[in-house]
Amino acid sequence: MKEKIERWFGARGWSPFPFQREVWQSYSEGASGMLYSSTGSGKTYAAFLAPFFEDGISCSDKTGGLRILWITPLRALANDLAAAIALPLEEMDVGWSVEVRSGDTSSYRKKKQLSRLPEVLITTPESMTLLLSYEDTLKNLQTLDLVVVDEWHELVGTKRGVQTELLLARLRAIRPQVRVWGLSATLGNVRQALSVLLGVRASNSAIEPALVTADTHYDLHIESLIPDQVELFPWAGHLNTLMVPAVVEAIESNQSTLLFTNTRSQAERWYQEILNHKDDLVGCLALHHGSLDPEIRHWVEKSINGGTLKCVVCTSSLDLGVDFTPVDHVIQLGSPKGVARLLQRSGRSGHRPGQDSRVTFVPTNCLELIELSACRLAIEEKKLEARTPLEKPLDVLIQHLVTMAAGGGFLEKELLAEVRTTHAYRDLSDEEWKWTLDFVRFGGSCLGAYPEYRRVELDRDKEPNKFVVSKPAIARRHRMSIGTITSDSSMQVRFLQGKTLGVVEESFISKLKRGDNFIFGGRVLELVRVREMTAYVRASRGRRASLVRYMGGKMPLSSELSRTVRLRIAQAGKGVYADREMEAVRPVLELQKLWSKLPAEDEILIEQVETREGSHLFFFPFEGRNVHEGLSALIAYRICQQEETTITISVNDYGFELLSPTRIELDLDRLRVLFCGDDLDEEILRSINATEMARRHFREIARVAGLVFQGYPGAGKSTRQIQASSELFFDVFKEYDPQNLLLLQARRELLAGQLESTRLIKALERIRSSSFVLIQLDKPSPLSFPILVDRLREKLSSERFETRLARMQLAMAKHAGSLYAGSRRANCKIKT
Amino acid sequence: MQDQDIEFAGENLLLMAERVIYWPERSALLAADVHVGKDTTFRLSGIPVPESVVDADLERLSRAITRTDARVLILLGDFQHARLGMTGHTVKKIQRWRGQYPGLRVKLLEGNHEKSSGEVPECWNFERFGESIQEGPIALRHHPPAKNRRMKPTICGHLHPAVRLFGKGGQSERLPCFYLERNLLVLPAFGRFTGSSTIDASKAVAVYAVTEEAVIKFKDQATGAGS
Repeated sequence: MKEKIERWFGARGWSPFPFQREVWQSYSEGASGMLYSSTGSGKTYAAFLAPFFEDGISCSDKTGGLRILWITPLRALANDLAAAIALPLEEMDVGWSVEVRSGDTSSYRKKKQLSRLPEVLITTPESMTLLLSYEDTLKNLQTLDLVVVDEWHELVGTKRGVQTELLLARLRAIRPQVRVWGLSATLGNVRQALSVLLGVRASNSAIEPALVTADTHYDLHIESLIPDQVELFPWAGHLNTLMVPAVVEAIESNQSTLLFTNTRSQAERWYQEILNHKDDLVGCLALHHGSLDPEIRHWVEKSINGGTLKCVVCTSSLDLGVDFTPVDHVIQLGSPKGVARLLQRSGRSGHRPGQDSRVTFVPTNCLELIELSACRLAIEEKKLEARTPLEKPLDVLIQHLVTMAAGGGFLEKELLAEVRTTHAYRDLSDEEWKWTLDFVRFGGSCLGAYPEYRRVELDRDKEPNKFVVSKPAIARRHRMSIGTITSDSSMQVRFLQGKTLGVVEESFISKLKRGDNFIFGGRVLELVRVREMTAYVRASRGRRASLVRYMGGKMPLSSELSRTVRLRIAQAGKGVYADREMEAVRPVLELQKLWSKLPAEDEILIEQVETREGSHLFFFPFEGRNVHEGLSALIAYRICQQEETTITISVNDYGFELLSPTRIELDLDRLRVLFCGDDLDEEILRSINATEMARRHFREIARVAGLVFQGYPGAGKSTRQIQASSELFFDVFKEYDPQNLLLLQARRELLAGQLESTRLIKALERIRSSSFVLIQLDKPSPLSFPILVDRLREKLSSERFETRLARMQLAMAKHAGSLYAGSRRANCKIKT
Repeated sequence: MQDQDIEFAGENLLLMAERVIYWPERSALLAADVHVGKDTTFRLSGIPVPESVVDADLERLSRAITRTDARVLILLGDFQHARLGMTGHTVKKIQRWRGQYPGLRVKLLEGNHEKSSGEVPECWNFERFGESIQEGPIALRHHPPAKNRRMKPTICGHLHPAVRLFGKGGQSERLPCFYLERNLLVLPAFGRFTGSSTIDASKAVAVYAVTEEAVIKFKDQATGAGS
């Protein structure tokens, strides 16, 4: 076989890269491991061909049974991957079959796979978990040699990653000799990513896991499109269409461009703007984002590879996946917010060895120029972000227990031992395990509070120690909701004639009336009617249309970038403008310096302004929006402890705003007390409880734990009676079952994940050793202006609820449902 | 408790923080959209909803009865949630609660949920009525009537109305409410585990937001309706 592979490489005029040989060698010595690189190709064959280098592998005959399992987070790319994998097998006359199993696979094919798996199966974490929820699967896994987890960096630090850890633990239990290999981009914590992949037991095994890098040297060129007059450049915002002509010019002077945006709305808008500016691009400009129909996305991906597209406007949906050889140019619209992300995206161009990567950065507001400059600095210092793995999310474990109960049942001791071999649950306590098991058996920890509850039960008839799901309806519904990615209740968008365009969030559609226009998939559409989770539309000629909005958080500035941003600002304060970008933003920064101050690295700037809205306090720690969310809640909480007031909070990556109806008097002494003080952990927790953060965060947990059952096209009315919102669950648990560990998990995840408490505590330490600079202004400064307009609201109050209400006014409910039966809106339903 | 007195169709009514209306003239309590058994329906489907939600609902109803000493309770439809939830356990629980008030008449109007949730158990001792009944000058019904200029004074449920309020400094709250037009009064959903729907208050004479302990009056400032 070895010779055959060498010959196959030779015939294509290739020779294996050193890192490929390294993987093949380690694998044949019995090792599991991880292969990582920031760019470049060849990872697929490094992993896939490894088993063929083992002595005595039989692959000419159809062995029957699964040999290689390939798990990828990207369902859209599974087919391309299958083709790439099938190629050497075919040309070397290996009679193995390669199949895909994902949400897009036909139900006929899926059914066949239940009784017999192909030799090579390409699937997603969700589809593989789903497969494990069928008892028949177990016996089909006895021949497995290799599991490859593709794009592992995408999964580490997410609940999908934990789901993958759990399913790998399952596979190791069924087939102890299986070898697991991860493919990953370069991270700040590759070693940790490897140990998460392999779990506790494998890390202790006799054979040392292999960590192989495929990083090769290449040059990265980043340049910015800077407007001639920076005064015309907005201080805030994310759309800035002023730059359209320059972007079109850049597209035209290259062969093929990927234009990365940070959000789907931004992609839709820019697609329109580019076409409006230059209509000869029709036909060679395409749009690609995660909400578009898979068929449309697939067509776009094919066309890029075929070289027929001049430019694709895309989101992180094209961050990953197979290489697009014709692409020679990448545009990053808006700040990349992280060093690794910029590197990853830049790696999408110039794939051929020896070719350089070229990135054009297009700022959408002038302060983003600072972020790019900071990004360049971090790249020079080789400071990449780490992906921190999640610690024992109980919602994912709840889902896993039901999956295991449905897939042939489980014995408590066995499954607990297996779960504890994963990195995520290595420290799962007996109490936490018991609570989780009780949750799926009884609904909660206190017996009697949840009478007649049914999900997982002991199998009384056959094996009285085995936990199973005995009701087929519950198993069916569980399978339909397997998956850990948060998505808000989504609706299909479909033409009246039947073609599906993609999905949008229900909350967006519910704000539209019949006949309203909206932009989606690069077209202006008119809403005709809404029926059972589908929005029917027709093409519209209208020009006035609303832009589809998506929920979902904004990417925070990474801590690596935050640090270099602070540095750049401090340099500017001393009159040092390090590069072209900093030079371009100079007029704005000098204005900031004139009106207020550019803080030095050991200074924290605070500005106070009065407007008609109330009294504003702006704090600038430059720590990224996540840290600011936690920090602002803490400071607001402490102020509310000292005086009776109501504070509204807004944050961005540079700082946060506390807005109150009356002025909060501050001096340096009081500031020191507010930021220092003891009992930090306790007070952060209390401040979270005082806001709506945990309640909002509960949405994802409720979905994963199977509390919120999402409707899906065709589900009809049968599920309507068991639909309630995660907010309602949160309120009900908080009031009637406060010991519920899911509530605790929501707070813990908020602290560790969203608020990045480790970063928060470090930030507080830094702030304590800094000096405060408090400045009174009569209008918002260039730094505070973006916070003022870019609002993310959180509220804290120490006033009596009813007193506060009495001062409030009725909102003009523009989008609210109409009262009368006769005048129905396109969507008027009770939000439960 | 901070309730609100209003005059509607010439009658004095009390909007109570328990999410009910008390009509002293007829010694009647009005409640809509209780959705009994919704929690059970969820639990039977493998979704854990604590039972104490319902206990708290029943306690609140009891509190309203005790506070007013009402002789009649009129339920404006959607008392039951779904057939699946009407288990022996749920039926008994309601029966036990009902047993505490032998002197109380309970009238149940038909809501959309009653159509599919099966028979009302005998042991509850409820008097069944159709879609609507006339009580003196006021029509009581589950669904709001079709829009009609000559509409007779009507009290209804079904909509689970809520309002959004805003205040200085970007404050915003969403609360269940009583909704009042010249000839129409809508009750908030009684059940705690039912959810609500934000309504358009631009044509309202007034809306009354309900908190745990108070009913607070709001007028639509923009239209200047009402006085």
